[in-house]
Amino acid sequence: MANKCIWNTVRLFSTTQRSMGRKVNIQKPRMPWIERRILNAVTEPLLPPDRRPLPEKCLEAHTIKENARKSELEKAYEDFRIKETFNELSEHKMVAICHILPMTPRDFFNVRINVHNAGMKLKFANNRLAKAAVQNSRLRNLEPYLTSDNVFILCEETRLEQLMLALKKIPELQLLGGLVEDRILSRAGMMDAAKLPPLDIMRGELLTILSTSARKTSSLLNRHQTELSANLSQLVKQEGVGD
Amino acid sequence: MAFALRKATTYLVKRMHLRPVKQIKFTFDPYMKNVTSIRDVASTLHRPEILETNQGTVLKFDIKSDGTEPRIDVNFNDGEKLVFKTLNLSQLEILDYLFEYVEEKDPRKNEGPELATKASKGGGKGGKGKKKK
Repeated sequence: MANKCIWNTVRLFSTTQRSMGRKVNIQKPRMPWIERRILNAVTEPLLPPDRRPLPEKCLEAHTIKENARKSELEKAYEDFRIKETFNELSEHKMVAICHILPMTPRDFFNVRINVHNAGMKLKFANNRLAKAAVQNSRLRNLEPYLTSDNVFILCEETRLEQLMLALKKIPELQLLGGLVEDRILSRAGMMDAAKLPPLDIMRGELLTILSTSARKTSSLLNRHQTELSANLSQLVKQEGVGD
Repeated sequence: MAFALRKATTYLVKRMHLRPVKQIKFTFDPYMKNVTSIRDVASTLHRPEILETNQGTVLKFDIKSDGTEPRIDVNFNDGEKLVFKTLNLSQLEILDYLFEYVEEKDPRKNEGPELATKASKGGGKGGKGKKKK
């Protein structure tokens, strides 16, 4: 009798079910004994009903889920990606920001090839990370471009002409603007800059323009003396002929 | 809320077509605020499955840099023009209005559903039957 009583008590408080030598079906667990069910019903906590509005409850659940998902390792990885994006944007002399249209994988492969052949590289960056990268830095004015479907075309040298030629062949990429030698240019600005001759020729032209004005000034200053000497020499010549 | 918006957008994108549309022009300045909606709509309408519904439709971009307000000009085949000033419109709203017009002018609207016959499914009598000698 005593043994039976002890056995019943053990069975009541045991947390595991007896398998009785059979394989336990985990997917469809067996209904607990009546004593266990009574115990569960009695010990079930009686919490007051949550009367908060549904959005508030959902927000709390979402926050808890997000906090559980975030970890130090993930944060470090995110920081690394932000830093990488910032380095990519700041280390290249020419960064063109384009709107990318949806296309088939085959077309995308061709786009990559075209961009690579032009001596540039295609870079995707999450808008959230890119915004975090440019925030509070010298590139912060690029922020308005960083919405919707963006793609960056990077080049270590300023090759606007090649870029325009490449983009003519790729209608899936629409140029929005970019960063050229630490200057933010609009689409029209980039297209105008692409039409300009190379920098060496421009420098030569500038030198010519600068020297032209100096030459003109000196000629204007010397004009009276030159005229006077010419007139005098003419007079001397005429007097010589008269004699 | 975000889930509901996403679901509604997906619903519209799946049913969108350009059958009565002749030309769509997207005009915007990317440096301005609130151009996300027009850019998203442009991306949506450039999806291959939507473009396949009418290969004669011309989709144009006019990217400006003078602070122009974003707008979408839609030209229909019957000569009617529709203008969306999308500064204060979301992607879902634009797609919803556009879908309404496109459905109304759909040339296939009055056509009956295609009859699914065995012959149309292709194959007809299969090769499983006994061949007569």
